[in-house]
Amino acid sequence: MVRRKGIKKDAYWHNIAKLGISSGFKPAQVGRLIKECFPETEINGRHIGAYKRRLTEEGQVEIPVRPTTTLQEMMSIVSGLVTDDDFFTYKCSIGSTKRSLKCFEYKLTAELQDKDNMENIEEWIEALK
Amino acid sequence: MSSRDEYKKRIEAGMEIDREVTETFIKALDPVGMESDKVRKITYTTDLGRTSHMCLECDEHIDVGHLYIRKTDTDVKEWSYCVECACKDLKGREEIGYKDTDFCIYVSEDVAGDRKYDYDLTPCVEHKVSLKIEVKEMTDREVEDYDEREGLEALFGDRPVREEEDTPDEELEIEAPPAPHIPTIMSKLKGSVDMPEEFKFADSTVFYTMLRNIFRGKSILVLGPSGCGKSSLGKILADITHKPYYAFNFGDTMNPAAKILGDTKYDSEKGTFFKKSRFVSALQDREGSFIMLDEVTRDRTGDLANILMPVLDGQKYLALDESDDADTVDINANAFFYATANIGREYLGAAHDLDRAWKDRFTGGIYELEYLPKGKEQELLMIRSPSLDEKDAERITDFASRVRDLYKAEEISTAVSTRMCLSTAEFVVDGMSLIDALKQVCLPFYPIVAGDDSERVQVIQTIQSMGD
Repeated sequence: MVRRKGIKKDAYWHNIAKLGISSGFKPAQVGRLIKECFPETEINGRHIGAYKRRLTEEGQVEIPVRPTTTLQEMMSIVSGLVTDDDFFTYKCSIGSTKRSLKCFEYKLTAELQDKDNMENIEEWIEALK
Repeated sequence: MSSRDEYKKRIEAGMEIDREVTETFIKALDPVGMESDKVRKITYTTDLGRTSHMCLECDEHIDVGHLYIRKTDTDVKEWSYCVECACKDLKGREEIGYKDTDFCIYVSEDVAGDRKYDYDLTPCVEHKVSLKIEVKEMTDREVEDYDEREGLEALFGDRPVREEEDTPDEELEIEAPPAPHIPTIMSKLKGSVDMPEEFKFADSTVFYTMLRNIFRGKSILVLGPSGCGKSSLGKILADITHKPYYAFNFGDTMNPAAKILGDTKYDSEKGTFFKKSRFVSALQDREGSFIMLDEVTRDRTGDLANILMPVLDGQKYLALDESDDADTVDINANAFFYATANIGREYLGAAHDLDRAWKDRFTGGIYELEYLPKGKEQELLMIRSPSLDEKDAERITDFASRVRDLYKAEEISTAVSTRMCLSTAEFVVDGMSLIDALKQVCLPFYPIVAGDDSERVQVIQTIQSMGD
């Protein structure tokens, strides 16, 4: 099977994920570390698994068989890894998703509002009479 | 047995060597074998000049009866080289790592069988035969070197080295190791933040660059015709970045100084006092506010630009009055300024009037927005007025597009904005005919002037051409 060569992206959670993966944690555990710093993130184990494969293929990390530290210890470490630009990017990511959702919500509710408006107009005309 | 002994033995054997060479040569150039390989193969063969040749590389003449190298490939192309140039060419290909070359020089049957030329043959790897010319009696030192070396280096190591060979093009061939990838704010934004639905009409680079400017606190100025979405864009960006949003419209103010700094008030208990403006609160917001400066070019007094200069540049302060000991307001480092201005000949104080120093303060850049493309505008009308018939939406945007073409051709003084299209759509949804709605919304922008070719007449004709 021919594997498509995709564009390698950077993301706000990569720093934490890289540390977690290189410390021998599984993607789901790394996901918990990321949630600790970015509570509203939609990043899950599958995203992290894909990133882990990328790091392994590129030879950027050597993954130990067992975790080199505990998850609790790691949680205290990772909060220091979050840079200003990571946090800003995270906020933008959430903000953009919410804004798009609002747009879809508007599309869905606009027709219902139209019906309500018609009722209001009838009431208003009645009042004029 | 050392290679030297083998060499001597073979020399003594004379024709035996030649026969062996001849056999191996024929085997190597077996045409059937070559075809079955289906690989382009380049072969270097020694030959005697039967006609006069010229070296492809150094242009040296190779006289009749002299040794030269014939380079051929499976495409039946053929080139002549002198022995030195052929070896350089061969060595170059070997170093580059070409797989299409047999790294040796074959000796043809007639050459191998002819002993009158002073050449020497030394069997090499497998069936391949390397050539050595101008053999002389080797000294012990040379023999030792010969034993240690292999291939072409062994064969031609004793020839004089030219200066140009000391500086081969090896530097060009060496590939530099890939530079380590360093993530940047832009690459992170591109990798993590999806463009929101409402922003999809714009270029993605503009979106990510604007986000970067907000992060870096670089002010931006957005120019564009009225109603093209400049202010909406600012609100969207503020929402996305979760920054406290403060909007100040300078199109509705008579006194920009009071709007920016504050004003004196009177209270029966306190007496007269100075009340700081909302703008000052915005500058001091701890979360780092998103400050929208709408319609900055509509201030005709020039006060606005003067007061905002130290706010927008590196000084980052605002003096509340002009005295020497005036109170100053320090601006939060994360505050971001988003200014909008109209562009175009029909607007008062349009952007071409902005002075250079004022423009320089917008270090995040000056962006020029255009009206939405027809398809996107139609989509927007359908989103904002879901009850609008698709055909009506298409006719409204078609009308807008035609009027904008007239504006670009400088036949009329102002275009139809997206805001006007939305307004027309609302009228249509509420039961007005499309023609009437267009007349109602658009005609007031085109004054009544005598003459058949007035702007108003042109717009009316365009409206009527839309049909009913």
